[in-house]
Amino acid sequence: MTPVQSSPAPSLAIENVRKTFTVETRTFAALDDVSLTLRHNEIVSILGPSGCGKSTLLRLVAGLETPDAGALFINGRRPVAGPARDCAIVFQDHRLFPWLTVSGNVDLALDSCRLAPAERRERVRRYIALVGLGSFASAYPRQLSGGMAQRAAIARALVAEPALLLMDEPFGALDSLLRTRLQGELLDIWERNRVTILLVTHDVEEAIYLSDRVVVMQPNPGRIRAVVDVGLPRPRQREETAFIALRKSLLELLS
Amino acid sequence: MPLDSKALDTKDRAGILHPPPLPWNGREAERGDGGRRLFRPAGAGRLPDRLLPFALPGALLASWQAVTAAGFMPEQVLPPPSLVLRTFIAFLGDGEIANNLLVSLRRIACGLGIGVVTGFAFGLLLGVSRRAEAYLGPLFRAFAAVPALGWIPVLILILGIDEALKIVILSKACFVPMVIATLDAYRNIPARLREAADVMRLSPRTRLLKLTLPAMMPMLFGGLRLSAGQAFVSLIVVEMLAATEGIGYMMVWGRTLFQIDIVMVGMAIVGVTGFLLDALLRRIERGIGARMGERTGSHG
Ligand SMILES: Nc1ncnc2c1ncn2[C@@H]1O[C@H](COP(=O)(O)OP(=O)(O)OP(=O)(O)O)[C@@H](O)[C@H]1O
Ligand SMILES: [Mg+2]
Repeated sequence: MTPVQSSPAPSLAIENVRKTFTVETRTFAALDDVSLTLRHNEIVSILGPSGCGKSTLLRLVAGLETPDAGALFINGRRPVAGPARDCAIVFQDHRLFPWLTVSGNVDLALDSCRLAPAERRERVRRYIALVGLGSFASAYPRQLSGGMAQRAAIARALVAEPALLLMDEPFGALDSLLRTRLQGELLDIWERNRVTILLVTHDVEEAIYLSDRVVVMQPNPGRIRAVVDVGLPRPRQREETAFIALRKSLLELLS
Repeated sequence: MPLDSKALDTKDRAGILHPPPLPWNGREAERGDGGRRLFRPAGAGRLPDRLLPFALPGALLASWQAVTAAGFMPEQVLPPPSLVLRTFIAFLGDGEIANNLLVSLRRIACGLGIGVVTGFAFGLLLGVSRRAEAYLGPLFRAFAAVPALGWIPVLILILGIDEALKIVILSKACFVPMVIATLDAYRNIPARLREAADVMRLSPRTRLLKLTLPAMMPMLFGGLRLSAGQAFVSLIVVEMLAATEGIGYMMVWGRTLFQIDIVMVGMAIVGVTGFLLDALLRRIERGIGARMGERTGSHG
């Protein structure tokens, strides 16, 4: 279960990143001196109060923002400047194209992959079925509930089988049963596809259940407060003592 | 009565509870209906909804007939509707209307086609390229400030009074609203979706077909409708000033003969044709809007 170091460069390296925003002449640091390295095939969760810069950090990795200081490296390539190949993101909101069906939306993520049409169709079908939307493949986003739309967005991020997967509270809008199921599915995909996952969540249990390490952030300015190794063998049991003890200490870190 | 007022009450509350529909998702009509039903007085004399638009024109027509029948005004100034109708039928019979309308519609089609296509291309250029906007934006705004019809004197000198004059004037009239609509539409592509397209690294072609155009479509249609309206207005004026055929020409011709009935036939044709054109475009627009409407929910 230990991640295999398939190449010397880390999957993602965030080095002393600072990001400021200016709102009406007032400048504040949304992120200040944030450093974090993700090994290949590692799952890292980010926990932290609202507004501490979790989404901003993901947007920097996705190449949607540029840092004011420091740099980010995916697979040791030159610093991230714009969206990278092999990296997908599930946004906090679903961001489906309203004029495309679920299939159309998921298919869009394969635009930059060279796949034979038949394989492409099969992939789209498979990932839509995976998130439990099989019978809604030809529905439009306006016909979906919030949680269904979010699942479609997850399928869209997974379908290209990226090497680095960024997820911003992907299961936040789902009921607990479905959430547990999709967490399981995510771990299955992770085991099959050797994908590195950076996941933002508000759910401490989810963080412990999924991740190798949990990053706890603090606001004003957004900084990393602690990085906690989970170190429990998978599959993890939410009721076991070590799990509960870890949950307690993480909650303490958060308050 | 208590039953009635209760029904009104729930409807009212339902109206408040529903989030306001997006302007382009095609639900306006429903809401408009609901509102009208609220304010309609109970009792006799209810008209079916489809007849409502004809109530006022009908009343006007009746009073017009009454005024002329009473002889308040000489026939040369205000001919009775019956005469206008007779002239209309006569012109319909001898092909006068069909010929002139066809000429006018052809000019509209040409001017609208050229103006809309070039306006769309130019608007997109201004939207996509900051540099193009810097070089051409101010010039365009100055150009747009001079109404299409203000160009007539100069253009007559250059182009004469042939078809070219009308096509150029109409194209100009359509070009300006189309550029503005295209630019607005481009700038209003939701940043959320542009970012989603960025991270998926869509090819330029896919991006154009799956994001840019669909997102712009509702506003583009608004521009198209505006352009069609502008084309119509300009056409009639150009035809009245410099033409030998067309509906506008027919109206001037009627006036020089002191046959106001001919002028009125022309006005009626312009009004009805313009209305039908707009209705057609609106229908297409609503169809598109309904397809593209995003669910109005918290996860939008
Ligand atoms: N484009 C922007 N312009 C100005 N300020 C911004 C911008 N984006 C983010 N911020 C600010 O940066 C800070 C961090 O925002 P961010 O969205 O990263 O928080 P978050 O940790 O994801 O919060 P949440 O858990 O509520 O999603 C906030 O104070 C926010 O107001
Ligand atoms: Mg966030």
